Amino acid sequence: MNRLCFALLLAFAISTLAAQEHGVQTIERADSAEMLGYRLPDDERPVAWSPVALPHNMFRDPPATPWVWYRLRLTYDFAPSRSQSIYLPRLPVTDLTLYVNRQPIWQLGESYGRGSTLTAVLIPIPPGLLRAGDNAIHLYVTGYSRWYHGIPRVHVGDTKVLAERAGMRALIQGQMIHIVAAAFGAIGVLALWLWLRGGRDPVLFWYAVSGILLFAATALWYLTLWRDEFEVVRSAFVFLRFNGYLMPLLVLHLRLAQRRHPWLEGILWTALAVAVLSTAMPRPWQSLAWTVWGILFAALPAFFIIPLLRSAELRRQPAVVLLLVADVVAALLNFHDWALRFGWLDFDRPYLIYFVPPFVMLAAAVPIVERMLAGMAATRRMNVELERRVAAKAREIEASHERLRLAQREKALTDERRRIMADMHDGLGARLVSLLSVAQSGKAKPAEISDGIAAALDELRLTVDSVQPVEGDVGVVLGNVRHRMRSVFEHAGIGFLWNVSALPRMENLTPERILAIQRIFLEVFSNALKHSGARTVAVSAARIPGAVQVAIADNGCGFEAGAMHAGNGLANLRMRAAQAGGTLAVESGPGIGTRVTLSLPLADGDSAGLPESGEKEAPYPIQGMSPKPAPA
Amino acid sequence: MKAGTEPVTIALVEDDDEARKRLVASIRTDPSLRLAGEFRTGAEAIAGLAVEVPDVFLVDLGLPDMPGLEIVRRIASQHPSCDILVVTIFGDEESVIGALEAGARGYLLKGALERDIAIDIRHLRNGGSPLSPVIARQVLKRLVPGRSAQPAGALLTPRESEILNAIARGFSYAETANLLHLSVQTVHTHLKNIYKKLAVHSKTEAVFEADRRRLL
Repeated sequence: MNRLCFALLLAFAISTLAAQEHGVQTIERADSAEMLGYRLPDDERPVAWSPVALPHNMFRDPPATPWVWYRLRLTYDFAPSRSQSIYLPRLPVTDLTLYVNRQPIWQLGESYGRGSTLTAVLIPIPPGLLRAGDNAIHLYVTGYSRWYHGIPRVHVGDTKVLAERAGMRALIQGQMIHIVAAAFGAIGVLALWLWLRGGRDPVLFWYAVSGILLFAATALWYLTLWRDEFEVVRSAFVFLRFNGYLMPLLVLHLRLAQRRHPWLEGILWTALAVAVLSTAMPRPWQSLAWTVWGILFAALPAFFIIPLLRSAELRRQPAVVLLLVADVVAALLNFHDWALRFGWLDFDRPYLIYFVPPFVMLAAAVPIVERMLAGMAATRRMNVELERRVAAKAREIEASHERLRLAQREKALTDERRRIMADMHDGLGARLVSLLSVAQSGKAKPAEISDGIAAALDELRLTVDSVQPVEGDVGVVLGNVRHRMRSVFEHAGIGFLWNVSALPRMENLTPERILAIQRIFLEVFSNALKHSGARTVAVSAARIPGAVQVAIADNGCGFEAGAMHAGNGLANLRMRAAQAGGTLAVESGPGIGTRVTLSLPLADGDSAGLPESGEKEAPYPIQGMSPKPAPA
Repeated sequence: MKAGTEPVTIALVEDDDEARKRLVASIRTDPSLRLAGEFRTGAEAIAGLAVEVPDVFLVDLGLPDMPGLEIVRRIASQHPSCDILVVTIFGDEESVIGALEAGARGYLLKGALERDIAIDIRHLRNGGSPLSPVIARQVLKRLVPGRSAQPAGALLTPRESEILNAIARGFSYAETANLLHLSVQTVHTHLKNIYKKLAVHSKTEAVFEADRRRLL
């Protein structure tokens, strides 16, 4: 910042030197007279002029009344041919009227509004007014010592050159201040948005408040210049503009240092509020409030810089060090302006306090951006970690599902193996054992043994058939039994009536149940074949409400008359029916034959329609009669 | 179908001597059948084909030197006129569908009555072979339209579906023909077509699968 000031001053000096070459005269000597009235003093009455040096700092050298006349002399060797202007680097007065050679040519308020410490004025001199030899410039000024009013050096010369100088001055003391304020207002809004969106970081919040307040104070200040209605609050804005911005910046410092001093902050906010409100009060009160605030704030470095310095961790951070350096520079700039007001520095120097808040905010942005970047990096790391964990968890779940699936499959396989073993043991095994004993008895006929072996083979095939895929189609199960038994019936010369209607799909048709159904058939069939003397066996299957009903009927002699041991055989059939998940009913009697009815209840999920495979309703119910019994 | 007067020539490959003897004996009891050759291994069978191509080839699926399905595939591709019957113990879905897809025309159950072999062979020559309901249902499931990306030619016609449905319900061919008001011969012709489709299906399925896995 010092370098910036230096550069600005250097530029100013160079431009001043260059301007003199172009015939700019800088007037540093004048006569002054204190007198009320717009008419030129010498015209009305002779006045006692006393010499005064320009710039005239009224705070240091207060006039007796606020109304002061200045008389300046300007000498031209010959009448200027090019357009000439008067340039005043700043104009901190309440009112000013300017005369050249006794002609009023300019009055403050017409085009420049109010005079201020910042206003650079360029006044064109009407052509022909200046003449060779002595010229007189009169300034009639209303100014107040307590407001640090005064008159700068007066520069007269080539309009083009002075316009450049005035433009530069306006840039430094006008546009730049506006642009910076607007920029920090925008940054403040951005910070506010980030604060609302992100983790509600207090540092970000106070950064936002600082930026927005800086902009607001500047904007409102210009509002008071624009319309007279805002005159009332002008002092308040002056105060806010020069002092108020410090408060949020202070809180920002404290938050950056992760400190909270509710009492101190409360007192300061109160003092600020009182000072702002005091602008509407009579002068002594206002002065008191402003003084209290000033003293309080002057003591602040002890409260906010020392905590920062005491934190070893913060002290090591370059961003914090940068912030502290910025604070020191800001304080120097502040002192510069105070010195300027009190007349310790040249009156015409530009005011620099307006660059303090942006400067401090720029420095404060560094740790904030650092924090945000660190936060983002942490979030990213956390996300990566989280994703990694989720993926690991997913893999774990997948693996555990896989294990579960394998275990379930393993269990299903084990169950199935156990069931097949049991079936083989009870069915095939039992048959083979009885066959073995028949063969060992030595009395067995070969036909008996081959029948036994054929039965064992049938048993084995039944077991294999029971694990074939039928997809819940009980019709296929029945069909398969018939397929296996057809040739036997044909050889036995027994007619076979087959009447199977469309059957619903049965989800619970497990191999175990299939085997049980097949065994019921086998048993009933073998009874019909061997003992009943039946000529025809009829199988029908149909859907009845809630169940599939399968009936096997023959026209033989019935249980009682037949060789089938009714008790044993029936109990066996009932057991098989239970295994098939159904119930069994037997009607039997001499002359009416035997009718075995198996009811298989449908589960809730069983489809009301046909088993899948694209078949249509059309061919069902269908009936069939096997070809004529082959000759026995 | 050959003229009724001329016996059907039969060759068989079976590594179990006893089983082979029984088969041979069974064939010899039927005057309408003539044994063209009996082989113990797949290699012998293929060599034998060079000498004479029989009308019917009985193939045991469990041969010592090569998988039975491989022999079926070779015979089916090189001698389309030769009808192949695989011989299995159970006639279970896996071995039968596999054989049908490889180009077999049907299967024989080991241990069935001797007379049945002749009947089955006659059925086979008539265009069909005894298809168990389980197999019929599986064929139906594989070839029904709308199940997979299959050319229309490899899918079942409504009539063929009807026939397979009836067989899956346990009806014999004669009963099926009766039900659908067809002649038994027509049912056999349909079955023959179904077998062909099954073979085509398995091939396109393989191509489809290979394409899906980007092997082609």
